[in-house]
Amino acid sequence: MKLASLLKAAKPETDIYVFYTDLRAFGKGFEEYYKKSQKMGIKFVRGKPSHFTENPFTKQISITVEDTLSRQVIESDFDLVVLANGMGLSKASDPIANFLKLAKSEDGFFKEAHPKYKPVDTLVEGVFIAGTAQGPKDIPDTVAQASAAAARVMVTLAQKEFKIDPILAFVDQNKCDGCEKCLENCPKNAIVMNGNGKAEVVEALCLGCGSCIASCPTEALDLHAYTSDQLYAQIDAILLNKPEGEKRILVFADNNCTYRVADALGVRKMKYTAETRIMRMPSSGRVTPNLIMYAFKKGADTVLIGDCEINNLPVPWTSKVGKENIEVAKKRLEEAGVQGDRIFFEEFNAGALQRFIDTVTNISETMKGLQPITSEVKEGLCQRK
Amino acid sequence: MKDNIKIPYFPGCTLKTTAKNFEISAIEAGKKIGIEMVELPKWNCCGVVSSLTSDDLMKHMAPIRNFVHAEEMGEQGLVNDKRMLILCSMCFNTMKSSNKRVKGNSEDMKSINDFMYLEKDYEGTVDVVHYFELMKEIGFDKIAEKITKPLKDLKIASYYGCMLLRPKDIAIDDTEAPTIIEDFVSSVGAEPIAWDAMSRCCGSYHTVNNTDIVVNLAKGIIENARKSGAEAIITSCPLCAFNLDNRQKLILEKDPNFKTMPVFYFTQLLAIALGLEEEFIGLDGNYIDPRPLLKEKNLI
Amino acid sequence: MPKKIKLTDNGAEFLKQIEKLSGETITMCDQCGTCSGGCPFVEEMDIMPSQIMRMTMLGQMEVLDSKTMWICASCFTCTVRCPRLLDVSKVSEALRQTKLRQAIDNINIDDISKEEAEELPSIAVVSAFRKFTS
Repeated sequence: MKLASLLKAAKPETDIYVFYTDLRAFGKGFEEYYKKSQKMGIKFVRGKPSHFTENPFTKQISITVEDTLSRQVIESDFDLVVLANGMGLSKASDPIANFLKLAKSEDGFFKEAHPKYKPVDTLVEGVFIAGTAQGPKDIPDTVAQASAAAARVMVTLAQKEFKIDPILAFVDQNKCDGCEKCLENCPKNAIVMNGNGKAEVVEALCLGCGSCIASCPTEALDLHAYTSDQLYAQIDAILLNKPEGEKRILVFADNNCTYRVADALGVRKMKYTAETRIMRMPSSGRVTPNLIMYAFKKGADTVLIGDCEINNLPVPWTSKVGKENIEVAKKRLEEAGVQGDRIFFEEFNAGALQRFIDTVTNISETMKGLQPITSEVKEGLCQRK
Repeated sequence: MKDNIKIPYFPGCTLKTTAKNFEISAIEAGKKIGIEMVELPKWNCCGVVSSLTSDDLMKHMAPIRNFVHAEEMGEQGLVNDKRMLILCSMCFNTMKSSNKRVKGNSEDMKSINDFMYLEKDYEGTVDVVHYFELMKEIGFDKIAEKITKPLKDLKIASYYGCMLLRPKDIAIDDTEAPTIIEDFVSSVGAEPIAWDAMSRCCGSYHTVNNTDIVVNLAKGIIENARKSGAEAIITSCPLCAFNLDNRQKLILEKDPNFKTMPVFYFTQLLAIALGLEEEFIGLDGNYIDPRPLLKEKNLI
Repeated sequence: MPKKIKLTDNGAEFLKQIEKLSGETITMCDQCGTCSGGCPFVEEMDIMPSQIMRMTMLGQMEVLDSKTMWICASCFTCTVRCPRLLDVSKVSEALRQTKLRQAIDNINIDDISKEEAEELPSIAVVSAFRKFTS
């Protein structure tokens, strides 16, 4: 529209047609601009050109397009054709994205930490985005977003000390035997070996996802606020005094999606089967095979690991670890001679309320056909008492 | 790369009847460039047009049955290439679509195999390959080396039609900007011209009961070729060949000022360039006689 | 001539049937007209391919009486160009099949003379009868 207006102003004798699929003049003053272009005599035709041909000798370009409003096909010659392509993120951004480990959204632009509440933050702390790096936009919006980003940078720089989330992994130096298995199980490479040949967590890098914990054979690794002792105690409490003949689904709910779904269900007073018991986990990666086995030992009949859909995961790595852990647990159940499908995995988004209900209802149905695990078998499932 | 590709060959109906001259040129020219076409001992009609509704599994059975025979040929060691060579664009499209459908859907595959219980099961090991694709694999530069009679100064419009390029998952080249036929034309020493109607539909089966449509479309295609400097058109589809070549009779009836243009089957061009005998080129079968043009260029 | 149409349950059911038969989500159509602009047959049609999509979406069963679906020869030009990745050829086929399955053929063998028939290649005859008969 801008190019057309400029051309028309410079050369009023030019006959200009703008072909469009949909025209949305949404910003301040845009509608006026559109009207002005129409007043100048620029013709807007609703239809997407299907075919461009160039006469090999005269180089004249011909366009075939349906005018969808009059239901006629226009086939006509033009002296100049300007194509308006959709905007995309420059390929030059790839090295920056790789270096800073920035995520991109489905449209190919850099992803913001939250589209509504954190529109200029990225998932990497201290890195901010503005303008067309985040998505197509005009100059006023770019300036507004850039100002916001600058303000966020100021906030960061003004701090004398940088506060981080206290949910961090730690290593019990007495238990660690220096096997180094955990090193490759951290998406941020936040675990290093110290001078004593033992593992150590670099707290400034740790995301607190907990996906390193299952890799530690000596249980030296643990996560503040979700320590193994705390989690085992929770399982004890949840399954304490389970009445004879009743069954239990233990849901390990990831904090980002599944737990929010369960929370929203409660707020809205929506009902789901009373056999369900929910435990909040930082991520599906924190659900170690030992925890799953312990749940069965203490009387759970089925276990559901609820995760986020991968696109909504702050740390996508956790999904991979979570799934690996489940496979290990399934194998251990099978080896112990436990019958039937008892471990379920489901990915939710934060709005999947009905799907959560359906999932636990289905599991409850399946559970009706399952025999209780005998106490002898239960004993052998997990070393922890 | 094998020196001599021995490959199962599915002819389809038309190359065995009205367009026999196309097949001869393909077989004989193939021998010179290292393609030995071994016809399926048993084959049936592919159905010509691929069925497009979601509930029509049975219509995909005919194509699939041919793949069973191709697999058998492989097992019996009759061939050294387990794909299936097809010349006709419509057969190519239909067979490739059906193959893709059952290969991607084990349930469909099972239903079809159950229905054909008198045949061996189709294992899904056959891929469809078009003559153009096979030549590209051999290398158009290698083919150019074997040419004894380069078709110098002959300006050719490469007509793709619909079935080699659409839909996208069946296409042998880029849907909007293909080059494979032009590369072939260059390899036989002729000059490929750039034109617009290379993939515009010829009217297909409307030639049976709505010849006006075909006359309009064919005329437009031929005139576009002429306007762009072509002296002849080549195609790989026997139906396009019929519509563009034989239907020039009707175009002339409607417009006596229309200037005719010869239409070759692509393998005829290859056969000429390889210096084959005229009986293997089969120019008698072409409706618009291309011999005056070829004589003018000193090619026959 | 302008006319008023009613949006009915039968119409909605018709859309569902065509969507099922074609496997295409017709409500996704943006009415951009790319299909009509590229269609080599558009001058032979009474309504445009984009109108077929529109009428089907609104459940106007009169779409079945139009010539357009019979003129469409499944050349797939629209299919490869649709910005919404819809396959208009499949919708066209679904509409043809809807008619054909009521045992209403669109070709009469007696209309073709013996001379004409002998001249035609088998590929043309087989495809025409596949597309025009039930």
